Formats: sequence, structure tokens, C-alpha cells
Amino acid sequence: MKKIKSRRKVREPRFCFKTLSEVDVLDDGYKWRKYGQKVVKNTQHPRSYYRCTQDNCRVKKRVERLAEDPRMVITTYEGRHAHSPSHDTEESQAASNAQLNSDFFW
Amino acid sequence: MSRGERGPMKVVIINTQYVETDATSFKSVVQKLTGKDSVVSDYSSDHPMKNIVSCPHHSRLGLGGAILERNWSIKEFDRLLKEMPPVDELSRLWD
Repeated sequence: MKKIKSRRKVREPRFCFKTLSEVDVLDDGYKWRKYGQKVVKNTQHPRSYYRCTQDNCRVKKRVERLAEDPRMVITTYEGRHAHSPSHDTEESQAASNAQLNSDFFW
Repeated sequence: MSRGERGPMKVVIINTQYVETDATSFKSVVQKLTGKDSVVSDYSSDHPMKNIVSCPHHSRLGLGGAILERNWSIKEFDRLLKEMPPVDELSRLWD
């Protein structure tokens, strides 16, 4: 006869960010793919679920708005990335510099 | 709860830390807490510096983060404060 033992499982710690923002999905330097959406009671704002697109990286996040104050976006991260953030800033900086140069009328 | 044939009870523990930040600091704080080299998420929920971390513009998290990374207990921190010279001596040293 099997002994009935309760199994305890500790999930990766979560970080719940509260930010004043008009934009739902704030740029955090990582790339995400949406895998779900759920209707939340008492608010017209659904909750969206995202996964990090990097291989072997299992970080998830969810984005929703605070019911009591819809100006606030709640972003909850679970897990830690196994890689550095994808800094597109260098490329976009170079691109925008090129743009700037071509706009001048000499 | 009667579980019958469904097997043993499964308990899932979720530790959540709450962070308030503005939109401009968002990126750096997220990377600090969930990035590859993050130290903060290693802490158990008994750590004295748990829960609410607030960083309006520049990281008060910077200070909190620095203390957290040194792995000080409250006891050690208290001892440091006790060993500090009295305030007027401090201001004399400052000049």
C-alpha cells in the first residue's frame, strides 16, 4: 500500500511590477511571444500571458491593468533569464544616426 | 478535502516580491531582478529585506540592492550601526 505524502513544490520567485503607463507592454529589453489571454472579472482589461522567445529560456510574464486604477500596468515576471537581454539599442541608435544625417540639407 | 483515489496533496509555494517603478526605470529594474546575473531572486522569503521595493527615479533599489548583495543579516547591520561613532564626532571627521 502506498504511503500518502504531500508533495511540496516551490515555484520560481515572482516579481510583480506596478508602473504608471499608457502602454500595456513595456520594453524590458527582452523578446516575448504571447501565448494566452484571459478575461478578468470586474474590468474591461484582459490579462495577457507571454513567454521569452530565447531558446532554453523559460521566463514568463503576464500583463494586466489594476482594476482600482487602470492607469497602472501590472507586469508579473516569473523566473530568471538564462541569457543577456537583446539590446537592440545599439542597432537602432546607429540606424537613427544614419537617418539623422540624411535629413540634413547641406 | 477528500481526495480518494486522486493521490497525495500537492502544495505549491509562490514567493512574490512587489516592485513599484516608473516607466523610464522599468527596463533597468526588470533586468536587475530577472536578468542572468540577478542575486535578489535567490533570497528566501525570510530575508529581512523582502517584499516592497520602491524605486521612484533612480533606484533606491541601488542602495537596497547593494545591501542585499552583501548578504548581511539584520544582526550584522545593527552591529555596524552600533559601532559607528557618535554623530558629532562624525561631523568633525567629515571636515
